[in-house]
Amino acid sequence: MKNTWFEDLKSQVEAFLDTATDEELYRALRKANYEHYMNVTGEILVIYEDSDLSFNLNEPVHVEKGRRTDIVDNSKFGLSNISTADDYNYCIAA
Amino acid sequence: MEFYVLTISAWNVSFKMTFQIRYYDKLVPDAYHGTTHDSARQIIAKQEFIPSAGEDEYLGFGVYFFEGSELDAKEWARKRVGRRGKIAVIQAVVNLGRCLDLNVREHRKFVQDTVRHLGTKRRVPGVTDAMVINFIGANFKPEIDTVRALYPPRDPGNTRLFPGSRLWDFVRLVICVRNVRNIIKFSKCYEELL
Repeated sequence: MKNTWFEDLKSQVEAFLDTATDEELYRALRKANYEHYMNVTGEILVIYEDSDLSFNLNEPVHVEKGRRTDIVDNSKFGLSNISTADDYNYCIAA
Repeated sequence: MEFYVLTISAWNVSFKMTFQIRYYDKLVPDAYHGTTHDSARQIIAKQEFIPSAGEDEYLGFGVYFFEGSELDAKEWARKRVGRRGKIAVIQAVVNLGRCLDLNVREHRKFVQDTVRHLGTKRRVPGVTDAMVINFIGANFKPEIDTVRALYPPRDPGNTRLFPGSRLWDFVRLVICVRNVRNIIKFSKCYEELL
């Protein structure tokens, strides 16, 4: 049986990489990095430097690169997932 | 389109049932997720997994399972929580769906080619496995439901199964479920008492 979805996906990725501008590629990489959080329906906690801000906005906020966010008192928020600050200098938790 | 016809006979009566065969309905009935005691309780109470995120994840965004090995899930959870913490394991039935299966050569080559393109031609810095998988998974249709791969034996303590063997002592089969709807059902199968 032919694995058609894979062939479709592969040709789309190849075509994109061949034709995308640098800006389009940057946007695609950025989307890949936090797209998952767009599906979160609850509150998003954004961790910014030394303070904790919590609001219902799926908007990334800059933090110090490479900083681990598990220094936050997690028992206070009951978070089950916290990202690390990444190359785009933000981290978010849900 | 291909079909599978199942004939059931009982008490001199025969039934014929016809199922459509789809490449992407492959079930793994014994996928194990190791976690902390508290997280396991939350997952069961809310009936919801929240995928791990970050570019340092092995296979990108998703909920991680060890295929066919409860012991691997326990060991992973133990490493994560340390000696004092309590761990639990959840067993799930996973539909691999549209699976980027890195045990399949064509799929590995696809990832490899994408990495080459991003890193060499487009000069994207610091390309990692997770970054490439997330890039493919987030931007293109059809979406990838799961990613499956062998965890490589890079631990220096990992040895062959016995002298002369071609098998490794330490091998883990990891499934990363990107689309949580592909976790068909789950329940707690192990829990340390508090």
